[in-house]
Amino acid sequence: MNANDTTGPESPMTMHLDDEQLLALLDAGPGRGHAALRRHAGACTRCSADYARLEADAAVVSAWFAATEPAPGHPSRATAAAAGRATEGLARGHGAWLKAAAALLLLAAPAAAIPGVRGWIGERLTAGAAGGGPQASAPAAGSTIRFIPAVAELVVRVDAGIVRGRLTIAAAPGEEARIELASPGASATVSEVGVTLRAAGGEGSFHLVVPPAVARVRVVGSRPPTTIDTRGDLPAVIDLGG
Amino acid sequence: MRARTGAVAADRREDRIRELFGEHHAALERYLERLTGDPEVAADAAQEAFVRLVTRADGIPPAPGAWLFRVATNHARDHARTRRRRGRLSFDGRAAGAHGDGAEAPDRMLARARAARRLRAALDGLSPKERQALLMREEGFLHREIAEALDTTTGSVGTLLRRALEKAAAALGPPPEDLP
Repeated sequence: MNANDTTGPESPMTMHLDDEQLLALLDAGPGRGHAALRRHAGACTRCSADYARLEADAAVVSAWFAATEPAPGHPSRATAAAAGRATEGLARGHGAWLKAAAALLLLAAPAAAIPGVRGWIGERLTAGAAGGGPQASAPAAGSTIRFIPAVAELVVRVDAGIVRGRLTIAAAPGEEARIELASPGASATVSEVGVTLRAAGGEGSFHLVVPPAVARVRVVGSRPPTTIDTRGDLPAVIDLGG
Repeated sequence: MRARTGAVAADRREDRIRELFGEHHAALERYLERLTGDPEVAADAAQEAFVRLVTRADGIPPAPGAWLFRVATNHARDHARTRRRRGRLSFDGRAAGAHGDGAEAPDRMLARARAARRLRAALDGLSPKERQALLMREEGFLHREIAEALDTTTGSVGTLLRRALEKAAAALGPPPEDLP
């Protein structure tokens, strides 16, 4: 609040709203919180005018941002919030899965290996930006995570929390692998050396498709651990339960 | 037992970083592109911020979003100085190409590119801190998060934002009618 008091003795507050308070009112949205500030802004001519000016400026700037939105499928957090949508990574548009997979590679990389890994990531980010087709990168039933395996033996780790479920494995041409989350609560994490399967609630089903470059799929965490020779054993069905 | 505990912690950290990537990467790259006007610098700086997050010895910071934006902004600023010597790139082409809707009509693409140039000019008219605050607000950050990223107080953020909105609105004028 600044020190100029022109609101009169009957005003609920005795000083004018400062920039921080006006912005707080604006960004909170109509009717949300800041009851005392709102009462003051409603009663004080000067603050009311300041707020209206600020609101008008913000509306102009937001409209320009919206008009130049570089990626129609990637609404800004503010836009998404205004539209009442979640801001999760799902359905963010083309290339999201490749970016997610690329970032996850970092997780498995020791610090000393970062420069090399970053080069790999750069290639895949570029490929992702140019690629097409609807993709998914976050856990949800029906989602598909696509990635390009960097190793001939793909390790699929089954989280200990999965007590029931099924993993089917099939082959497909090309260089991409994909993991489809076939049941609610199923999720998968792709890293440099493989895939980790998880399931909220203990039950999860997955469908893994591997390219010819993957010679073996080693499933660990299942009982018993299984190694699949992709040249002779596919399609395969693995029971993830005990 | 200790090894198992370590593995669980690593898994949790991996999951958290994955969440942070999903939550912030697209917004971070868009913010950086608007901040610098250079898609290559934006992509590089966003990547650098995540690399630093992954390799950060102290783990994930308390306000990771603001931290990522601050680290990426600093990297982009340093990098942009070098790149400016070789000439500045416009983000108009990217807006209409790699990021855009392939089915968009040519006249709309042109209008969008014109609008992007005008917005770019308006953003260039702001001080670096005003620009950063305005763009972070556009990405939905709270004032305290912006303050954290700018290493300042929420009071200063209010002043910066108000000034930035006034200047930008004056420079931009009414929104283009040929675009949504």
